[in-house]
Amino acid sequence: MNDVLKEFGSSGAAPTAGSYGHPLTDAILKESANLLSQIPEGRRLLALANDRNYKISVISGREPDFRYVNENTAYLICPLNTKAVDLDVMALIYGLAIYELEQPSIGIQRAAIDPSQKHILFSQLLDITIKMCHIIGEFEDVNKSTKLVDYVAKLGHIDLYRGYRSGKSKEDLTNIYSVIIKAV
Amino acid sequence: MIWHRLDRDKTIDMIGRVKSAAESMLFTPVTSEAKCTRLPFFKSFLLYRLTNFSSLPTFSMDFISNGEHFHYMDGADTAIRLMVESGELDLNEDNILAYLNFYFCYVRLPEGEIILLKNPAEAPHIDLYDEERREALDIIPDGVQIERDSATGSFSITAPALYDSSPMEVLITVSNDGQVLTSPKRMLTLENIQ
Repeated sequence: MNDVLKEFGSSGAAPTAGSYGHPLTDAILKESANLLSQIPEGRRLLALANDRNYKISVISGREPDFRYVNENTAYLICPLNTKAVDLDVMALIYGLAIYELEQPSIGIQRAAIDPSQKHILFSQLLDITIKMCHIIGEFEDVNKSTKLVDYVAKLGHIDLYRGYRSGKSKEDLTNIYSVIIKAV
Repeated sequence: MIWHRLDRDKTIDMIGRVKSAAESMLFTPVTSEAKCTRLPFFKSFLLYRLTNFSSLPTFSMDFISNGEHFHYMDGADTAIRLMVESGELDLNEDNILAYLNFYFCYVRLPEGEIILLKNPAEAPHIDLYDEERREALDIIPDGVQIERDSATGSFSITAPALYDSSPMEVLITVSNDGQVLTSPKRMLTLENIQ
């Protein structure tokens, strides 16, 4: 499943003592950014992260993911054994981590731990999932690769992706997303 | 898994033990909760989960620990190897499936994600967000075959599995010291599934 570049695709150096920081942080960020820069939205997000001085680093973890920490800091999560990770997925996650930091500045609120804010959480997650479809769609167009389409299917969002790609309205996408997350 | 929530003092103690100077923002006592659960294949070490509720979706990190030494589950089998070295791993016919469910959940493999299936028909209904299912250690696949080599102590298990997103029958070999090798035997087609 893995076709990442030589430096990224290592079976893993020893983790840094006393830290969750991934030993291949620099390679992961560099190679993910290189891939992300192949699409227009990726270039926009990378420029935004640079302009706003977002601090993004990589910690090791059991599966690829990203984590908002505060208004200008996020972590990418990558398994220690990078041979088990697709660079395409890490590039997508890098883009989404930047986008989650951008969200408040474009009017997407972050939900607090409060049942009364469920609708805010729903809107935020819908928005970032649509952004995921946006990024994957650009990769599919530019690279003619379905690797990330397979990934979005694995996440359970293939109907949302198809709806997004066929130009469905925000209302239709909201309905599709509602069905998906109730089913999960 | 049946989780036991740690009280405030034990949670603070755990955060103190696992806190990293470099990533100090990951967990704070005010917004974090810790819990633990027994793993049937380790003699005394438990699985601990620390969750930060300060932002949504919440964020968790898992550790194997005896309450004093915490080994982070980082996607590799490092912590399991440490358990083997310290004589903690005790595999037998009764816990080998729980071990495999745990192993496939926590160790990221080059061949992709592997999930043991209750039966092939379950395959289309599992996705990456279904954490409760993916973390279930008590899954016993229908028709699973388990054989133990009395000479080496290793196990051979044949079972249906989701193998890098495809339903397959797989042959899994587990050595006495917990090393896992998985070979796909045959694709489970729609006919098999129905």
